[in-house]
Amino acid sequence: MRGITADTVLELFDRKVLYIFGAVTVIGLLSIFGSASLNIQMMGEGIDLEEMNQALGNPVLMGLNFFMYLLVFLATMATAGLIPGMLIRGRADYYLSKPVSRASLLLGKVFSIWLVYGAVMVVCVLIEFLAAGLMLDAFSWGIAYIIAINLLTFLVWLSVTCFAGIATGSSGMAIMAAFLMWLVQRVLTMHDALEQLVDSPIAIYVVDTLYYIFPKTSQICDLTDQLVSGATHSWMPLYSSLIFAAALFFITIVIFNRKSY
Amino acid sequence: MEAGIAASAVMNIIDTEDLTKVYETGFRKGNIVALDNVSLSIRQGEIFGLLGPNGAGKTTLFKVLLGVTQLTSGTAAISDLPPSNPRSRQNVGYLPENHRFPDHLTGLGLLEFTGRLHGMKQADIDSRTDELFDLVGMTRWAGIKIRKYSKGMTQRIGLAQALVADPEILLLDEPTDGVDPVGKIEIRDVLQKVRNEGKSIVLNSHLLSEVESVADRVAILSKGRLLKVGSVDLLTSRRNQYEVEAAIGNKHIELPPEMGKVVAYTKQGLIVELTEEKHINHVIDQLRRKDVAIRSVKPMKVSLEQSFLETITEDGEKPA
Repeated sequence: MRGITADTVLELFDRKVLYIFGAVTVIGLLSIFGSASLNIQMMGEGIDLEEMNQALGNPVLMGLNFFMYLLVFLATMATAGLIPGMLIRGRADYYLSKPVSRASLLLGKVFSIWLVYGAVMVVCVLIEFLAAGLMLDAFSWGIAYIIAINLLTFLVWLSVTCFAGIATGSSGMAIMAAFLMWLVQRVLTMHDALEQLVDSPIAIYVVDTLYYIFPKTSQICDLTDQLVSGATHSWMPLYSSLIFAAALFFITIVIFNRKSY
Repeated sequence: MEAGIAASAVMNIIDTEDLTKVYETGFRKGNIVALDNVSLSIRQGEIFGLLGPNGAGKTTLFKVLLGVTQLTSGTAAISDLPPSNPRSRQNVGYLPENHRFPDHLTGLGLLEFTGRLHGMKQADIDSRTDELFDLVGMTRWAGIKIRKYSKGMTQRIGLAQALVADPEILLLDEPTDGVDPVGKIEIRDVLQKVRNEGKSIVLNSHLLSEVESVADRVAILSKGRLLKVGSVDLLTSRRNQYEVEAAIGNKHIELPPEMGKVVAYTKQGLIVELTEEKHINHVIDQLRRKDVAIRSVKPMKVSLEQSFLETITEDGEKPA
């Protein structure tokens, strides 16, 4: 496991994806500096910022939540090709001929990706948080929710890219599967509205079932917003998504164990 | 004690029985039988050569043994453990054909990573890597990324990663592919050194002269079937053909058909093919009666390449 994690760190540096995370962080910092100057301007105009913040929930933390959601999306795209890349012709022989079970190899790699890219995301969001705290006086323990829940969301996305990567052996398919899943879950989020449009009870049942089965990353993002702003919330989107991820990892291991390379 | 030594001397480290691997190529295209009821045993401490034309199933055999490819039927085992058990690979070093090692790693990084995958401690890895870089002549390049290596250099580093866990069994698929002649000699020396340490080597190579020079036994595979297995001596000897070196001049000898025939008269003497080994005495008697000085009598030998070509031609394969 330590070997695979160290390898994933080296791979991260080699692939230069850190530059992208760095660039997004810089853009985030510029937004915070822009917001800070806007705050000063609004205070000058006599607008009560505290009152406005209460009305909006906690806009700074919600902004940081959106920022980390974006980082999760980037990390998903950046890592979608890592597992298929391990199993290309000539490289699969190297990995699979070692005295490590396929399940350990796969879960070790997934966990390493989650750990290493998760650490990068946490560093990026903490930089933003520190800047926001200093410039906008927005220190809050709500950041812990943002980090924890978004890291779990990343794990859900990893289950999708890992499944597609193993099943098809293609990095492109893994990226497309993540996009497709994002689209489907986005549509299924509107299941209540969809059910109003169809008459068939079977169709309503199918849409409803799919909604509960598929991950709900958009709703998880909303859940984090609700948590940091103190609004009422349901944990269902999070735990149902984690159950989906666990099931998908299990199916992926079964497929991986049966595959010939 | 002696019995124990004798028993361990013939201990098999690799066994396959009726091993079959069928690749399903999809609807309409039909299936490809890569291995067809292959039963083979490889002994501890020997260098075993796997020969066969392209597509004979040599690489598939390695892959099945290592669990990279799932077998269709039959059994395969390394040190009595099936390929599905990861512990069967604990004592195996493998150099794949057309390998693509993780190219974000340096040569040193690859060896360290391989060592960790074998569950080695960092201190053991450190002491082993220095030794191996020296052995394969790559010390200067240890810190350079693999993607910058030439083909010959990746073969050398591939051999080093196969040796990093100090395995008892080495499976080498085309180890000298792309290596210059000096490198080939060096790799051959490494193999001899490894064998002298009592380790077993299974060598898959198209270079028959190379296999002939290092292997104790060879197997010839064609179209997934095992055609021949035996020692290099056995495979290269011509059954009942003898070369008699003698100052025969213009003299001729007659052999009754039931004993055999003279195949050819050469500058050195003659070549005879006998129905039974004992009839060589009749040939010698005739030559003595004709007052011909006999310098030597030896069984005819062919090169491994010749034997290989004859075997696969008999099987209906067109030699390349």
